[in-house]
Amino acid sequence: MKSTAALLTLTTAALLATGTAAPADTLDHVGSATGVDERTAGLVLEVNELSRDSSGTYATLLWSVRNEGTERITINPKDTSLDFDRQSFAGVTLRDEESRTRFHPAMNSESACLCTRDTVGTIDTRLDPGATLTYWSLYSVPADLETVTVEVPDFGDVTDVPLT
Amino acid sequence: MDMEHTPALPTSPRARLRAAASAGALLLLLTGCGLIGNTPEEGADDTGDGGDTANSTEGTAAQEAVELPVGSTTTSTAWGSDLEVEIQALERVGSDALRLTVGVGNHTTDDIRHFKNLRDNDLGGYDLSGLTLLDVTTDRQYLPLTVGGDCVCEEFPDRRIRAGVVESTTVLFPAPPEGVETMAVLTPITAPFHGVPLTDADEEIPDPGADAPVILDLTHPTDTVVADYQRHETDGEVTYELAADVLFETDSAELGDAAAQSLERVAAEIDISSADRVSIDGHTDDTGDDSVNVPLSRERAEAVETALNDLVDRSGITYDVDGHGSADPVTDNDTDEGRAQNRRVTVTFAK
Repeated sequence: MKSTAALLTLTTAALLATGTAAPADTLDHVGSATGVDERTAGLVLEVNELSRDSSGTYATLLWSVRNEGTERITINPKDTSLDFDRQSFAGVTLRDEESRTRFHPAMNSESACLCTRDTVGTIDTRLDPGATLTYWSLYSVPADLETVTVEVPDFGDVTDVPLT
Repeated sequence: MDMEHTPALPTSPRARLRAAASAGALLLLLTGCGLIGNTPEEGADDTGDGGDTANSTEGTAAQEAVELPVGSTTTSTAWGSDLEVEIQALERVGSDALRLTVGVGNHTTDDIRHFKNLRDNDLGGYDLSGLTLLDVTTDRQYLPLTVGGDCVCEEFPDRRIRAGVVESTTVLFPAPPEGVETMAVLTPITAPFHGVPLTDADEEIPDPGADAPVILDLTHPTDTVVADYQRHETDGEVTYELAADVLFETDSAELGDAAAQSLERVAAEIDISSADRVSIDGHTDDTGDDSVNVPLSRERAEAVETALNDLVDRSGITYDVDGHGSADPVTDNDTDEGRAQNRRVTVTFAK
């Protein structure tokens, strides 16, 4: 949450800086995994946060991909089991090890995923070497669920992710 | 609620003047034709299908309101956190409508021209047409109000976000039921903003003559994950039941990355066994028909044979491969779990 004053301060600071140094935005992460496919080799997945909203209805997953390789890579964690419409980020799921349940992101009645939307010209899915991109998806999980495994296609599982 | 948002300090006196002028113009637009009319109720036309997996939202706590404005941490764009999306206001403006005011901050030193990152292709362009709202009390998603299929939303000034400036604009949504105090704001490029409080605008807007509201039900699909494999041993014979969902993607006979672990385990045991024949049998559940299931199960068995042939070090082993479709279930096909279990490739060999 940023106040207007803080925004002004930031902006002023950006104006005063010489050159176009983009701030290296490193979010915290609670777990990570590497790419397991030849397409994703060289990529590192980090789960930044899995948090409930204050009503407890939804859990929001924030995750990032960093390119530690030497080539530009495009990611495409699409869903292959359900009928999501055109949503190449719908493949990111949560797995409850105890109940052996897999939670897919929310789907609306137009079959769209409630997750990062891959509309041309909105988000970026191409990672240059050294770049990091952050994405999100929305779930509904039982109130008593405490930890999950985060599954992103073409990456190893990220285990023991706590719900905060 | 103070509608004016002072943009961050622009770079030049002229730009500063321009920003002030556009803020003033925005205010004029809102108050100029402020007819407080008694509009007929649009009604929330539910165009969504209820899903059987929809989670009940009964018994959940009320959503706490966050203090506005609230800004994004980062964006899913190459600009990352140099681009900031700021939720400034979510107001009831009469005519059964909400007005969402969003600022976009450009923390870089170059203007971002043709700013389309928040748009929905069908509803708009250089605007907020891609934003949606969530009502947690009913688990429904609200799309922007439209007139003739175009969102009731203003373009960003000059379709750009100037360097070092926060440009604001608005989009209208159908109003939720009375008593809803907060909603979540979803954008194409940021994490959701939960707990955005609804306030009452100082003025009401005239009826925009919008199309029927689009409010969508949400479903929360789940499925059961089966164990990668199960191993049985009877009378000196070992059988591995490998879960097809782990080995293959839906409807595919191509082994995926998750298959390696199970197959290596099986190959390792074949190597230390006395077997010179290995039976590989593919099975499906009972959805679809034999004309698809039998060949698919056979192709899957063949894929496993190829993999095992590579992995097994010991030579002189013969593989018998067969596909059975749904003819040989291990459990009933009435549940998701049962069907998942029936989708398998079995590998049998003498110990």
